[in-house]
Amino acid sequence: MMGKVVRSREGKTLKVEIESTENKISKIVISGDFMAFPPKVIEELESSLQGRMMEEVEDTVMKVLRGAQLLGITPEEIVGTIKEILSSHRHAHQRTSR
Amino acid sequence: MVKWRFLRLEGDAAFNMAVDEALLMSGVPTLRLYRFRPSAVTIGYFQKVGDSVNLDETSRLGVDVIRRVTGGGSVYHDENGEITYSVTGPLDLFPRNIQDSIRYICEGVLRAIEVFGLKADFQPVNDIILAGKKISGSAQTREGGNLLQHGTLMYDTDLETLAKVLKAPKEKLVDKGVSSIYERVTTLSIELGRRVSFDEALNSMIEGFSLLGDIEEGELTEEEWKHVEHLEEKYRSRRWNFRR
Repeated sequence: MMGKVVRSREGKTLKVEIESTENKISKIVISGDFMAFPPKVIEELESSLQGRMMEEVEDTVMKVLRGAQLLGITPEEIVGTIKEILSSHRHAHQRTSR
Repeated sequence: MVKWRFLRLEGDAAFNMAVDEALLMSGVPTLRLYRFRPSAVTIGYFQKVGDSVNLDETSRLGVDVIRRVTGGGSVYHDENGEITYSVTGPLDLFPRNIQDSIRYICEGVLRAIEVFGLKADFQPVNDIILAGKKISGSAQTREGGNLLQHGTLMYDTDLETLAKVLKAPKEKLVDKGVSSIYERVTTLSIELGRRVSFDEALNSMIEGFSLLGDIEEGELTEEEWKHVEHLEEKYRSRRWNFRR
């Protein structure tokens, strides 16, 4: 799994780890010392993101988190971190395919 | 006026977390003050065990490791130096806004610290800072129309052990501009320059949390005890504690 840890401007730590195949997320784990209400929304987010491509990430995150509340991190930071990881996956893949 | 039940139930980490979750389920307005016996590390609901806890050290020192039902970060609960509070009740007893409700309940800890003649400050999201260092952290969850918030007050925590058992992410240290856990954590004993006892800490917390209203000693109901028994199994399972 490829991961990235960011220190949120809201004060907490967000870690995202992703396994991807053919530019799609096959597994994602979102962890950190933040709070989420209701808590199960993070697991829902992880399962909703499975099979998604980079272009679908933002819509999926915003849709799942609608009505939920995060403390210590923001939905935008989750989106940004996932996209960064997926983008470095793509670059790594392109380098190895050359 | 709401009557608050006061509980002084304490045990090991699994028992303690089972009681707090049972209180969340029942929603009876309750203030609980307790210790972890033996000492334990609790980690937030969304944390990865391996990222937050030095498992070699906890195993060497016989320190329990357990996942909370609340989010937030990892905490070292020193049997001889830390007191934990939990506040539970129906949502309508607390500010609706989550951040406001965390701050409202943390006022109890701020007032407890004031009993010692010290002035601490609440620092969003969930910390209490004394002399620029963290002395208390809290975490909250909401379920079924009820709220549970629990948190710490380090009165005489062994910071050397704390530094050994907790892993602080390097991003956090860099962000806070410090290089070690000692520079960002303190205790009442350190700040006062004398050893603070558990009884002193307990009495100050009782006084601090009198802001809630009328508090009377009470007991768990039979139904709550049944939930505790059931929930203890979860908190003793590797499946729960190592789920991330």
